[in-house]
Amino acid sequence: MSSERNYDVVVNDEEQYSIWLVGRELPAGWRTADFRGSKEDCLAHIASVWTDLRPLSLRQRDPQMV
Amino acid sequence: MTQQQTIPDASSIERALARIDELTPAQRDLLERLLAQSGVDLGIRRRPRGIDVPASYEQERLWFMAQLVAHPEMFHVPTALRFSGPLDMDALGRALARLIERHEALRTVFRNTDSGLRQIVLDELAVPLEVEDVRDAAEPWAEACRRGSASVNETFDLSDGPLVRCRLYRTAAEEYLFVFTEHHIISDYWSLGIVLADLGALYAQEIGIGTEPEPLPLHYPDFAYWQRNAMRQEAVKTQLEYWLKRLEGLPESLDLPTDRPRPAIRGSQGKFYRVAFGPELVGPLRTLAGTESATLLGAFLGAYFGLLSRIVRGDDIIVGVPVAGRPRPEMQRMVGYFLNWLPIRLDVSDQPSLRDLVRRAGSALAEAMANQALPFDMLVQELDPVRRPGTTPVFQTSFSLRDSAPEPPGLPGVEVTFADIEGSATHFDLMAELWQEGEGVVGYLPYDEELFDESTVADFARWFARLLAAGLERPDEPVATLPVFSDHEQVLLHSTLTEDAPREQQTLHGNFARQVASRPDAPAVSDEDVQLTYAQLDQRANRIANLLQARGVRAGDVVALVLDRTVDLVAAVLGVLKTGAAYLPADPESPPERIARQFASTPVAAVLASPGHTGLVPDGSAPVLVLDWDGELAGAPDTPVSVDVAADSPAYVIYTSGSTGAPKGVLVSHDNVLRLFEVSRRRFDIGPDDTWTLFHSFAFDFSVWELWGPLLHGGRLVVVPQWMTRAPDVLADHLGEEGVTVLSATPSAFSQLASQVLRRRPELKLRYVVFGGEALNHSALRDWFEAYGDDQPQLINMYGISETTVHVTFRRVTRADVERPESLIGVPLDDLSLYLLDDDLQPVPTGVPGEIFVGGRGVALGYGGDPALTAQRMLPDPWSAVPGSRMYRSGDIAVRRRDGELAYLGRGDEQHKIRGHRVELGEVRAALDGLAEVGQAAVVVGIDRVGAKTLLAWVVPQPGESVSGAQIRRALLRSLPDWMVPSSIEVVPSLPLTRNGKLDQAALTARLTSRPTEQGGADAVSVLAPEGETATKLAAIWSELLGIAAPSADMHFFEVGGHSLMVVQLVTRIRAAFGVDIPMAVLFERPQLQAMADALDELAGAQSNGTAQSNGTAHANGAAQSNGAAHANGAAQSNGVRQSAVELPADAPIESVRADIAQRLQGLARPAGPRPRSAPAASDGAETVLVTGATGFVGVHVLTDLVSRGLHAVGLVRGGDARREELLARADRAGRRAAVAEGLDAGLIELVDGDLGAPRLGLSDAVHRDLAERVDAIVHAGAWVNHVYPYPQLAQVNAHSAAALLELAGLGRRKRIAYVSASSVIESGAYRPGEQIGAEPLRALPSGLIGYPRSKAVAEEYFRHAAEFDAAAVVVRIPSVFGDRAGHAINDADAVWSWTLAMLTTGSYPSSFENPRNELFQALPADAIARIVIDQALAADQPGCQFVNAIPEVVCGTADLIAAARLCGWELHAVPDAEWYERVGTMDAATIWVAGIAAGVARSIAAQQGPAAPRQLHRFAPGGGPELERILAEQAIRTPEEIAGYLRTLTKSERDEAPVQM
Repeated sequence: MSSERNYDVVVNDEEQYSIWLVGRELPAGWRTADFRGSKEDCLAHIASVWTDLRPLSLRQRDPQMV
Repeated sequence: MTQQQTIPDASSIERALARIDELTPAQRDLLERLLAQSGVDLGIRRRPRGIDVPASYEQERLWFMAQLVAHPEMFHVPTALRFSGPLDMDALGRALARLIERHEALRTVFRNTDSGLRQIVLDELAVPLEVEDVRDAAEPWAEACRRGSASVNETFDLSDGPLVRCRLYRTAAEEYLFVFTEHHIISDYWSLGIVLADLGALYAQEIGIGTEPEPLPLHYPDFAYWQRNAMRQEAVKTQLEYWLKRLEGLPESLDLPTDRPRPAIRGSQGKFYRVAFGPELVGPLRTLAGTESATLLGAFLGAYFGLLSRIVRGDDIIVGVPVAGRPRPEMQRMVGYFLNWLPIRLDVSDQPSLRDLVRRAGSALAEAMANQALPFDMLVQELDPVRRPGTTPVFQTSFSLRDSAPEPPGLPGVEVTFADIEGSATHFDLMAELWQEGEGVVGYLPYDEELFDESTVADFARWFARLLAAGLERPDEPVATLPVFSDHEQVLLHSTLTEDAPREQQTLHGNFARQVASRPDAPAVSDEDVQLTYAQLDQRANRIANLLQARGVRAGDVVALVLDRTVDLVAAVLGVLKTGAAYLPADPESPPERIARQFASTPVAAVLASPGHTGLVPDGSAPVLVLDWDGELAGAPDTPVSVDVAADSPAYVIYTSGSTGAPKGVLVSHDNVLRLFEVSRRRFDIGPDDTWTLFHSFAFDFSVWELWGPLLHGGRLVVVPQWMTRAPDVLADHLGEEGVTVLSATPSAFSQLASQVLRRRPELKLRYVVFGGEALNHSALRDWFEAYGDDQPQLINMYGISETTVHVTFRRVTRADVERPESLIGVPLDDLSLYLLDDDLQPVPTGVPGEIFVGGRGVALGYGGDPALTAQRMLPDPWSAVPGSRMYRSGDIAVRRRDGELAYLGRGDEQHKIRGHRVELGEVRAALDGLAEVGQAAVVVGIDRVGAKTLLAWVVPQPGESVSGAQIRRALLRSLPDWMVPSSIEVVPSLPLTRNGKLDQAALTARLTSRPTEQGGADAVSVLAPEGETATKLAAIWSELLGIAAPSADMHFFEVGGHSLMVVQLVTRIRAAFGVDIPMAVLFERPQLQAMADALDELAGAQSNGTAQSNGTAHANGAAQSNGAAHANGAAQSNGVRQSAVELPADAPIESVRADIAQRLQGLARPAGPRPRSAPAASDGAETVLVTGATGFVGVHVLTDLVSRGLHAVGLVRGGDARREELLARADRAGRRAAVAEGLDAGLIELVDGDLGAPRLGLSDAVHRDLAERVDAIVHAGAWVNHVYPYPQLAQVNAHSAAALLELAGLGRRKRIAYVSASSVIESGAYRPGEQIGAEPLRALPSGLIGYPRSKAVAEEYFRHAAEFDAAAVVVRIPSVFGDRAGHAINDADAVWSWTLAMLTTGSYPSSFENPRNELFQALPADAIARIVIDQALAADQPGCQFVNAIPEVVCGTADLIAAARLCGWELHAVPDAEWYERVGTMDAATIWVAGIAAGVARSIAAQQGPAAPRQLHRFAPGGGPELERILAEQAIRTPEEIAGYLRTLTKSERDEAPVQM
């Protein structure tokens, strides 16, 4: 069933993260972030690495965290 | 066996068989049985002579359907032929006559008799060849076709025949159109081939060529006779088992994307859409079939499943496949209706490829073929699926693929070809009828034209071909991702701003500053007290910004605002933004928990609060600044604050509830908001002359639109004070006075405002009304458009999502839309994309619902502090031209209509599927709005008592109209299919709105919690008693037919076991009882008891008016009265322990009841004598206790108490383990979820499927035996709690079930029984008020008018026979049951709460309630009761029956209740008793179930002309030992404080709302 399907953790140039079903063509501007697993595992991984939700360009201009 | 048998020669076999044919039917029957038992199959033989042959199963269903459908001509099967050449018409006529003579089927008629439907073969039947000469017509051939088509629809008389019709139209000297029409009941596709061939042969013979065809030895009635008898055979049983297993838990119906909702009665003749699949598809499919061991049919069927999987929501699909139904050689040459249907079911949930589907369909088909002997109609009877009028049972789509097209007959000298005429029928929603032609496949997609447009079916056909092509190219790719739909563009609405234009780095406050510079003295914002210019507003904002900076707020921070709605709110928002921080709005009117949650999940640098609201800020969250110009701000400078703020910095964090989970803070940037107005300016003409309202809470993102709409454009903002948002009359005037030009409102809020505007007619300058926040119901705007048109103001609907910045779409609403029930949302704003996608992110086709995804510049930054949720909801956007962009997954469902409109359907996580039908709430609401009596209406989806989705409606009547829910219901039943009619319609004075102006669904559904519910045992109970004599009598008929003790008024015939054959029975019985002939279609149109009874009354009136005068007899109703009343009582327990027992009159004295009980118990098996007490059967040595009513209020506590004692509990529950979730839900409400879950997991609690109302508790023999052997004790807590029904209707479940329990106790091991009785059993005149009741048997029984106490009392009498069954019984009478002290759960069934609700609802109480001597209840918490009952059960030892009164001495009075209500903050006032009871007596009994009792009290007060004496309760002697007395003393509910805990539960859901004024 679909819950057993694997996802990739993906990220764009603004270092915004998301998940994407393995095998589905990844849209331009996104790359895989070397993590693959169940949806739950991927989201847990994202929670641990994506600590600042602001786009990268903004973070670089203004280092303060939100 | 061992005996040698001589092998008989052929002629002796012939002789023997001939003798069989001579036997009488009874002898023949016996012989065949014996032969069948020894495995001898004689095959189909000539039926015995002189008997009426029953219709076959197939015929029976067809006959039934023909009675039912609106257009029975759908069963007429035409064949049209074109004859060219010298035709001998006389010879054709003679050939036709011989054809009719040759086949019995063609001269068969059907008659319904007492013993069922019979087929009668007429010896002679004239079917003339009717010739019409149309050569003189302008276009003879067209004229012939027209007449021929019309002839197809001419009526057939099933009972007199003929069921064949022949027309010959002469169109030229040697050209004819021949139209041969048969009723389907005597023919099928295969038969047609025989008939045409025979007709050709007979014609040939008539003109002197060819020979006499061989006579036929066997005919269809022989088959029917054989079928009825052969059904005893083992093979059929095996096949039945196969099919029942295959179809277990079948889906209710296939959710095809229809263009229109399904009518209640199928009326479509159907249309055909021609399709062709070329060799380039069929060839490779044949190859794929070969590799997967499937036939071409199997492969095509697999592909058809693939198509369906793409267009329906649901992955359990059934397709009907027709088979000739002639497995035996004798059948091959018979004419008749043999066609059989194989329901092929596939699971497509696992992303199958075309190869998978071909393989699966092929093997499913092969299996089905091996089990094809079972007639589908017999299977349907066995399956007994819930019948939906208008929906064919089991499957709604069919697929067939034949080897070739049928051959036209050969007439010597005449060229014969098939001709096309109109008039064929479609028997399912959508069919595929294909045949092979050359290397390709051609055929039709017949469809129900009432459901589908031709263009829709054309799409299906195109998608089917495309799916085949794509699937054959990539046979191993999931079908779900194949490119099938070509109209992606229609469901992928791309941003029209294709370039990601370089944005200027701008900010909200920066743009505001430009307005300050250019128009400093223009009015910017005003509230009730203050008006500020742009410069003044800017100054205030600067002072706030300076203060915040002084307190350490920096760019990137978040500042929370806890502010009242004044001009300073606007200044504060600006002030925060100026510092580079984002604001977090916390509405001081929100519940404190919500505010606390916001502070907990978003770290804030500072809080800015209005002077009165600092207390709302949780301690230690951040420094709190008070927005007080005389306080902290007094010294703050108004110099500009200069901070570099990037456009994509967060501007605000707004919490959005969504429909699931906790509210989440959405981070929205300056740019998100700026571009909203950038693109909106293309749609709206907005500028400095506009005046906007701030109508919404600033914690709702609609306010963002309202705030910046004026401030970015130099316009003026009118802050509407909070109180005024709830005073639509004042607001209506205010709009005029302030000259508001742009009003934003939720449709609910606008509806209230509009009615005031229409009444008061203020002078308005409105230019735009912008709807958002909830689905728009167009029909509610009818009056508005009447008065104001659609141009001044313009009405704009904007579908919106917080996560994509306020608004997503734009649609101008026009007057014409009033007729459109859908909520149309228009097109996305220019810089947004909107996609409708399926679960695999594939675009859905037009007409198929999909989830809304939104991409573009409105997509917010994310959810503050929740990257996982952000990543889950904001996905890479595959269709965006901008690399790396994201799209937001909304969870909302919409559909692209064929006319291009986008219609919002609702939330995806609450798909509105009611009883298997997709229901759009907007349609139901529109129907309500359409009723003259209805002012406003709300419809929501709720959960009914058995956990199924149901519609609930609330209606505000038009001013001056008085209407009841039942009246509205009946009115709706005339216009809507019954599944669209809400199960509950409540009339209310007004509809509650949330703070955001949306309809408050939670508040509405919460009002439902206050109604009686069952305690366990019997479920699916409705409290609606049938109204009126007809309905009562009809209920008795239902009861007999369906075996339901007490059908309720809203019970649905086809949902409680009524099926096709029962309808015939029902018609017969109605005719007998009422003298009324009711058309079957009416039964389907009005399937609910009350509606059916109303229809009967209407018919009786109509029919009696027609007959009474002519024959002078009493009219239909009179006849019914004479024979209807007698069986009303007996019927109530037709499924009882002893079918023959008749219920005694409801007021029979206790002596008669005792005698009756003794008699009822007589037939039951009893143990021979006392049995030894044996060790528990459970492996761990613990005792096993059977619990009835395990899901009830007390039952859940009984289960957990047993488990905590280490005992095993077996719950007797209807549905058994399938009800596990429901049990857990109920345990959850009782605060015992964990304990019950553990018990279930550890196997300490098990659920068995049983039914208190059924013989032997509805247990299978094996389970009954098993329980008898291993159960050590029984706790009987189950009962059907209903305070409305009289005794006979409750007797079976509540009283006579005791017999079944005694029976069980008497079998197997020795058992103890504790029966949970009630203190109300002593409610009869035999006990004096205040008298102390001993722990002893009853002296008298309560009256049967309100049946519940009597039913409990009668059960007590049963247990007095316990000794005869060697059981130790104890009757435990209990008082009012409250939830445990920890949870304060409420038992809705308890009168205390219904009286309380009546008080709270009226805001008053009868003045006698103040009297401290007016006693109301004795009460124990449910957990204490469970403990007592189990203690008593385990202590019982000696065979016999003891009585225990587990009723505390402590009595609570009405004064305690009032005190408790006051403790909870309710202001109640006293009114005279007569007035109060009278008022409560008129309330809806569905909400306040004591209404009936109150009405009685009111009447007796009126009769006595004085106030009622203080009510005094009885006192009880416990009689259960010192431990019981201790528990009673300790656990009794006694103080107002204790009661208040429960009162809070009762009113929790309404705490934020004012009491409902009735």
